[in-house]
Amino acid sequence: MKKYIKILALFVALVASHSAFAQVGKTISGTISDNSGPLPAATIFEKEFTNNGVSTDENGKFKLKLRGQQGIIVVKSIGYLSQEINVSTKTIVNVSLKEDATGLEEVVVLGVGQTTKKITLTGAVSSISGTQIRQSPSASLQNSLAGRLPGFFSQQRSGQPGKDGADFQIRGISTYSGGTTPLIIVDDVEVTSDQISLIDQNEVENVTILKDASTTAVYGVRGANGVIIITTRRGASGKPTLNFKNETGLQTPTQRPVINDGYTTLNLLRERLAGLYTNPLTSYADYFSGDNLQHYLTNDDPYNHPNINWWDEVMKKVSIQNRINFDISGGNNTVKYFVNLGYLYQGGLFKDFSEDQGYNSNYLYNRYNFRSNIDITPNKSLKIKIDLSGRFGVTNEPNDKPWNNGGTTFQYLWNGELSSFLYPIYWPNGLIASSSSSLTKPNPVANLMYSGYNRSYGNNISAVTSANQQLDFITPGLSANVLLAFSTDYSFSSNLTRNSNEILAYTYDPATQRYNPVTANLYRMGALTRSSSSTLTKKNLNIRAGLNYNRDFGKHNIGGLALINRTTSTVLPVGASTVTLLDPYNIQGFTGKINYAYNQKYLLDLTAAYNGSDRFESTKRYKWFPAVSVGWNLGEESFVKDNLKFIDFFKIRAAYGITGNDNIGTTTFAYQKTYTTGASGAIFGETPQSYSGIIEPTLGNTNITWMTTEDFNAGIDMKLFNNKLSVTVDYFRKLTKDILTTPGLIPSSFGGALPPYNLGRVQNRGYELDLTYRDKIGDNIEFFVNSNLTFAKNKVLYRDEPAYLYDGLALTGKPVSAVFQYTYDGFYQSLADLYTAPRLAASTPLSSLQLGSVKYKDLTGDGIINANDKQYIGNNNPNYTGGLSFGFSYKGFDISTLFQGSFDYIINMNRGAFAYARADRVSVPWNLNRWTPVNAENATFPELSGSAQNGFDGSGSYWSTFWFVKGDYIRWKNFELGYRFPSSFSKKLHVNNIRVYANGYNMGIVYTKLPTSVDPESALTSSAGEYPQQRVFNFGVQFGL
Amino acid sequence: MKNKIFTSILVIAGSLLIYSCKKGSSLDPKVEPLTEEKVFADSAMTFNFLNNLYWNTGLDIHSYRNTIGGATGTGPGSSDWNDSFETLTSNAASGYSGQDAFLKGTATSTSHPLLAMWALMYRKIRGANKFMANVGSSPISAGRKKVLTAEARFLRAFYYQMLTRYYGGVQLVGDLISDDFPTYEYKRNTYKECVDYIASEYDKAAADLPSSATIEAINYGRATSGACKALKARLLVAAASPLFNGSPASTDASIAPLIAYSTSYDASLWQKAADACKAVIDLPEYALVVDNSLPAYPGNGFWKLFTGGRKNSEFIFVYNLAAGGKTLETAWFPRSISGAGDLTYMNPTQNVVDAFGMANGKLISDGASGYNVLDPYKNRDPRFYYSILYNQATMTNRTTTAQTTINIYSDANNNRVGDGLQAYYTKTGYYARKMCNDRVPYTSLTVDRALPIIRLAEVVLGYAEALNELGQTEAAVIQLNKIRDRAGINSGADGRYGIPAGASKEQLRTLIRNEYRVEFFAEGHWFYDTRRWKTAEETENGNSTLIRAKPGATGSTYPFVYSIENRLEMKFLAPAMYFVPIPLAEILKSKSLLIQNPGW
Repeated sequence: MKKYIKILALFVALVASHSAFAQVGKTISGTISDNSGPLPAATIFEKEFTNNGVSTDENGKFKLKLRGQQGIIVVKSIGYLSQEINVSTKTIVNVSLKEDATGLEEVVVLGVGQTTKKITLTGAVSSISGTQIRQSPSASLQNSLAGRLPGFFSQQRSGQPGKDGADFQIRGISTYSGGTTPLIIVDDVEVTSDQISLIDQNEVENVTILKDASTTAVYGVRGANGVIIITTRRGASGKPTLNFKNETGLQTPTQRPVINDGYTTLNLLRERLAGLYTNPLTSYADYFSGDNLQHYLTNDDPYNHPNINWWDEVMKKVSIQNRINFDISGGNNTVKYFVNLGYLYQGGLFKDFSEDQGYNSNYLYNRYNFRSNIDITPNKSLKIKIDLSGRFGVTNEPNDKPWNNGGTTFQYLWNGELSSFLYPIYWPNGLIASSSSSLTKPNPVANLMYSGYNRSYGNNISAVTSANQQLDFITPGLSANVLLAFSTDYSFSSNLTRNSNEILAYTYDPATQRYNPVTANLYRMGALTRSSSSTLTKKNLNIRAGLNYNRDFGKHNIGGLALINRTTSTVLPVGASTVTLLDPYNIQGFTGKINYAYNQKYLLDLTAAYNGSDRFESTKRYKWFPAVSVGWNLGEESFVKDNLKFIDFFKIRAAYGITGNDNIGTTTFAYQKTYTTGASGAIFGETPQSYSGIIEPTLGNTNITWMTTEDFNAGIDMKLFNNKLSVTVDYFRKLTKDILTTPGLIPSSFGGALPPYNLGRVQNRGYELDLTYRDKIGDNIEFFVNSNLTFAKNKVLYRDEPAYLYDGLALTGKPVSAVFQYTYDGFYQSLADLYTAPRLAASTPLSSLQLGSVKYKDLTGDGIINANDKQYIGNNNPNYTGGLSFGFSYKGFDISTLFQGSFDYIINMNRGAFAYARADRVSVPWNLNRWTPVNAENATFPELSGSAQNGFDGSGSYWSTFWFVKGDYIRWKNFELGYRFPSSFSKKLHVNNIRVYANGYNMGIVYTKLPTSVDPESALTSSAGEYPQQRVFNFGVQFGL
Repeated sequence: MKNKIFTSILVIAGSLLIYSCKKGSSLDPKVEPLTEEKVFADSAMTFNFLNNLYWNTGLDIHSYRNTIGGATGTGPGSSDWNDSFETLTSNAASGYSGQDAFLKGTATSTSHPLLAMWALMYRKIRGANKFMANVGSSPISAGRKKVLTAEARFLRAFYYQMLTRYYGGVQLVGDLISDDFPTYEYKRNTYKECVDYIASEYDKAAADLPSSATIEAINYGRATSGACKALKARLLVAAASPLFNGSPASTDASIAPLIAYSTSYDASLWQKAADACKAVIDLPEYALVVDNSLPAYPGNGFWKLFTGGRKNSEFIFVYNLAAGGKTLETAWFPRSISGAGDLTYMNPTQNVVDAFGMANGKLISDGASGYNVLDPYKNRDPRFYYSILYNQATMTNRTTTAQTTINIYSDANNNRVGDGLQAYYTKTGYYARKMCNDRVPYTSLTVDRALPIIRLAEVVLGYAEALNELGQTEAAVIQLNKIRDRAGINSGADGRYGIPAGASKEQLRTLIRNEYRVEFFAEGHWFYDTRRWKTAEETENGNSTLIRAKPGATGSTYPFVYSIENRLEMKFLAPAMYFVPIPLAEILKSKSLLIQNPGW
């Protein structure tokens, strides 16, 4: 991020008044160094003509021909304090730069063209450099942020190639309806949350998250969920620098689901049948009659008594991920450029069954990225940026749903619906086996081999042009800028399909010794058919124009910003049902900001945005979003400086403001009452004639408007012990008002469909802590430790609920994602228990209720378990998230690692096979520790014959704290080990530098209490179709040319 | 140079500013809303508004209730709605868990399968009010407006009547059409107020509506004066019935008026009911569809009634289905006929099969009936053969006109043969074919069909019931035998269709009630009838049974051995299950002014 010093320096250089004499045409030269030697790539430019500059070579040497008359040059390098040197009397200049350990010049990017020095920042902001991001080989950019940034919550639900981006929020959740995703800005242009995972990490210079009103209020109506600012790399003056990077990664699932073998499952099935008073011999003669079971045990007849673990049969051990990047950057006084080309390939986990069919049905993802960032400085006061970037992705999936009647292979694997003992993969003669029985799903191998693929393409191009003109001739420090950004998204899909009833698979009839096709009378494979559709066209146009002002008057610094912006989004949806949600959407507004600093010690920021949106009725269209923030650099005060010498930097700050959220979760024109045509009608006439209907729509609410958040933040930034220890602590409190809520107290006898009203209120409070310690051991070893922790807890204050029969059932007062379920109270252990303890109204002991069934707490005390006995049992969103990273470097070696964890939330284990829902298909080890009379004391799983009562039926009617367990986890998220070859070695290969490295993502779960192999970041209730989370072990080599 | 750039930036910024501020800016609406005024300023749209109000009238009889709006709201799962209303009774089994849970007595005031009705019916009532208030401004002739207004009035009464059948007394909201939220107290009117209001509304509507003799062919299916009178008869028969007349589900003084017309028995209610029925029977435009001319098809009128086109002299108010469909056949036929793709819905239970008497008019429990338990499907009431597909029943083949035998049995190892007992196809050992056309091959079948919401037979039976309750037993027998004659039951030497001479009021009551069950099986009546008679505690309690057929031993007299097994243990919780609970959320909204039905 320190590169932005350059931009700032341009301002600084222009702001200073000038009155020196001519030195025109003089050439100066010299060496720039730091305390350990010459400093390559430092920038030297003339203060008067900022575009007249050069960089030092590898030996720190430079040569610069002056054009101006002042004779002052500026020397800068990232991570160092810049220096101004008067060269009016010199031709040789040797400069030693000091490291900027306090980050005094460190610049924070706040978006919409604003930057500020960290020292004068009054808001809550965290950032991560592109270098750190690149330590994580995950394909989706946001996955690299987990555990790195205090205040950043994320939940990665899936590992599917091309769809593995995590859901994320800044400072948790502050509303129960509408969007919770932060605004995402890439180089001043808004992108959607899907697009963030498409960004090539090699393009990224820095990611910053803005967390409080002082920094988000400029975004007005879109700021309430926080803002993520991504800046991309730009060119610097100097010779072209070429970098080439090649990475190869191995992907494996973080956890491989463990299932019982067929024999074990059959034994459990027999036990279950006995519990249901059913004779296994009659209901499942194929398994239990004669010596069938013996064959399953000895596995001596693998065709007629198979034992298949379908997870193992369809999945590879490892799949490949490849990433290639090529970037080139450089420039001269007038033009600088950075060009990046990237390619990413993620392979799928399934075996390549369809290889011989001439197509690829495996999961996979291909992504091509390009970016060209060009800076043009035609004269000393004008800067033009032209950025062009594109992302093209192809996601491939097996077209396995039709054959499975709508479910994916992963869905049936997780649900345990693929029996391990019903049919083998192939018959001895090579024909594909399957079954027409309703006991199991058809053979997944046939499915993956023959049913084709779904391939979706996403093309995404954006162009940003901006110009910044210094207006020193009006008043020094003033500049004007315009920006025009256009981006377009186009996605389409192409599919190859073979009808489910045209896939040849066979059953074997031992009586006739014949193989019969599963689909009657099908004797040859059907044809593959191709189909395609365009799924979305989206255009986004953003225009912005503004004035910036920043000037020092002695010890006073005054800055200001005024801008107008307008965004138009146009979507051409394909699915008609969502038209109203995706209608064209226009938003425009004004933003103004004034900041004042005295001696960099006393800081004041005032911001106000005035935004309008076409989603609202004309009198409700505009709204003010003001914010005020203050800061005090206590560390600069003499009483601290003189007495507390271990304090190098100490700032306290506070901010209060109002921000908005325009993703209010309703149709675009909810304020209007528009009658709905094409509704269901009736058929009349002796010769029938169909008539369509018109219905009164949801009533309009002309008062509908944005939800707003009152946001308070207070924080401390400190650097201690010679800048070795940095500490940032923040406290925040957000009160979100006007959350759209359907009135809950209007009688239904009114008969009208109720519109949402701005009624609800949610409070979200928490704190963040960020500690970093950096030091050296001896001369060669540098190390760091960073830990961060965020706590955010929300509570619904009001949502227009009616009173409940039992107060414990009210949503008000509970977190947004509160879960209400029964409380597990052990298992029924005795007959006395069975007959006397509270039970469900419909259950009959020993008939529909067995010993060892799950027992629930009777909270209402009425002796009956019903829905009133549910209560708040927890929350699916972690209240705590944190990260711990550390690393060190020694000469050419560097090593670092990151652990990440989330705590204080619950997750539902009642999913698929784990809930014993598929007794005749698959069981898991957890089921083995079921309740039986001999195992009554130690059982961790209910008896097997119960269905609804134990929560086996999947209906969710009787879920309880037995199934909802603490999801707390600690994950070994990342590590990186790198080695940079000595330059003497690189030179021999005629390259500037070579670095080899190995890094990993999602290395493993260090701590979890879950009883089964479910990833703790999985969705709340169901893992149907979830692609297993991927561990990536990655090797890379990078050449600098 | 720099001036030029500065100037251009100023121009851009300035124009943006001006553009943003001026009225009619980019933020003004891009779509023109279709307002209420526009809808009612257009005659076609005005008609369409009314058409939608008809949409939910067939909820009791449609075989896929969710396709006509039953699933709007929160039932126990929307798929539970994908089956006939009949599956909430002992007459039929559904593949869906919601129905079984209901029959087992586990429904609550937050999970009852009919919870959604409260809001849905009021939605329709509001629509009718909107229509009546706005039709005046539409460009439609005054005469037609009068008819349309009467149709809306009829529909409003119809939906109120549905509400009273579910809930007892409900809130009468009058002509409320305001878009402002109501400020009235949320509480129920008494059952009597509701019945009187609905009856008078039917009277008002009848005055303006055409009769089924005068209605234009193009408007068949719309409300008629006859429909008003018939539904009023249904209303008054219910009000005179035990649950509402003399033995309310709760004697609590604060609840009883809400769920009963009269807390003490009032015989005059039966007289009112009888008069209302008679008024319909006397209408010249209606007659039972009778066809006893084909020896091969005794009681053929009962079959023709449903399959012989959408209009006939017996249907009084119908739910029209689209032309050329085979909705019922697809839903109900076994897969050997309908094909493997579709599931089978609504399987008749052994309970209802046992209710079908013999061809001689006797109940199977009657020693003189000639019923042979070893050969149970022989010589039954002809309606049995038009309603139920049993093991070895014959019907037309799937693709050809040849007759085929339906196999519904299990082999020695309990594996199904043909369409035998199995999940998703038949859970009871029977399939339904009531109202179905089973005389044309399935694949070439198209049926021009309307489903009867109310037909004359109900009014005739209602009249018989009322006369019997009034002590006019022999007059009742005459009415009852109209139905039995049409059904193809042998009149017998005494011409009494199996009814013993000198039958007592109580004996005849039993026969009449059984007649309702048999005549209206699968038409959505049994749920209401067992409640108004207060007999649900017997019929809807205990076992819901299935039949299992297996081949008999070689050489035995009867080719199959039948065993009756328990499918489900039904539990009728009295008094709760006499009424549907008002959704708990509504009670809570009302600050408990809305009194919940007893037992919930």
